Amino acid sequence: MSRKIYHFEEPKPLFPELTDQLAQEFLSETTSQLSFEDEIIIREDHTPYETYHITVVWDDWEFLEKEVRGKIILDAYKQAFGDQESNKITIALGITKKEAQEIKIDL
Amino acid sequence: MKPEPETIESLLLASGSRLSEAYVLLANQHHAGSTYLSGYVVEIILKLAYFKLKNYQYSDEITRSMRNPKLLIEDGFRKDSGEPSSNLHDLIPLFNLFSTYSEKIGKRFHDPAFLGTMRFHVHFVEQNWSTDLRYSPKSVDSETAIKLFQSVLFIFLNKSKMGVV
Repeated sequence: MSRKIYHFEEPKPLFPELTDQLAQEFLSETTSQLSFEDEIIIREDHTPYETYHITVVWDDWEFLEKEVRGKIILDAYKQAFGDQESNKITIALGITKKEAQEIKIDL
Repeated sequence: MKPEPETIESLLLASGSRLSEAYVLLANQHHAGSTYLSGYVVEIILKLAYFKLKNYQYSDEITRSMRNPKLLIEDGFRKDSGEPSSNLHDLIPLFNLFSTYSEKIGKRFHDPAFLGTMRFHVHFVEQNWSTDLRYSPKSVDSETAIKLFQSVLFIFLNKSKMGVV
């Protein structure tokens, strides 16, 4: 009997440039007062259950649907910190500054 | 007329009815009325999502303890600041109740990007809706009413992803 084995390739990030830029931002992020003056604003909430909720405010992804932005956050986090850490994210929200003001999210 | 006992199933049916009524009001430019009813759709869906996590059945009656905010605090009925909520109409604590309790029992949802989007829509409705709208003579502008209805529709149409079917 002969057999052929297929290996699935790891899916590539949907928007590699945005993903790279955000991954760099995750790596360089220092804990500081969040400010609307910043180009990218990241809020990371750590829950008691070893999970993270990530909110990223960034105008460069205005043209994308929110669920796509959320996937970019997951890809970027994985790129920056690896699978194990990115698997701890349970909520990934990507919004623009205008949307952040619309929902008056607490940054 | 004495109302029927409220069950999980009757709440689910009520969410569909309120959504239809909100749409009719919106289509006829009754923006405040549409917004007022729309908010309840979100409130109901979020409560149902939590009840389903608690393994309640559709035929189960809604008991007094299920409506007691004090008993829900431990499961995550809190504002984003972490402060406990005492108002069962508060949508953000209701969303936090669902997301926190699901993590507490180790029931992870597979799509964090979906939950993030859901969180955005809940926040948008929360910002523009209040049960006090019923006493308010003010109108709601058409742009806000339409955007709010779109958020409500997103939540309603995706309720199965939160376990509400």
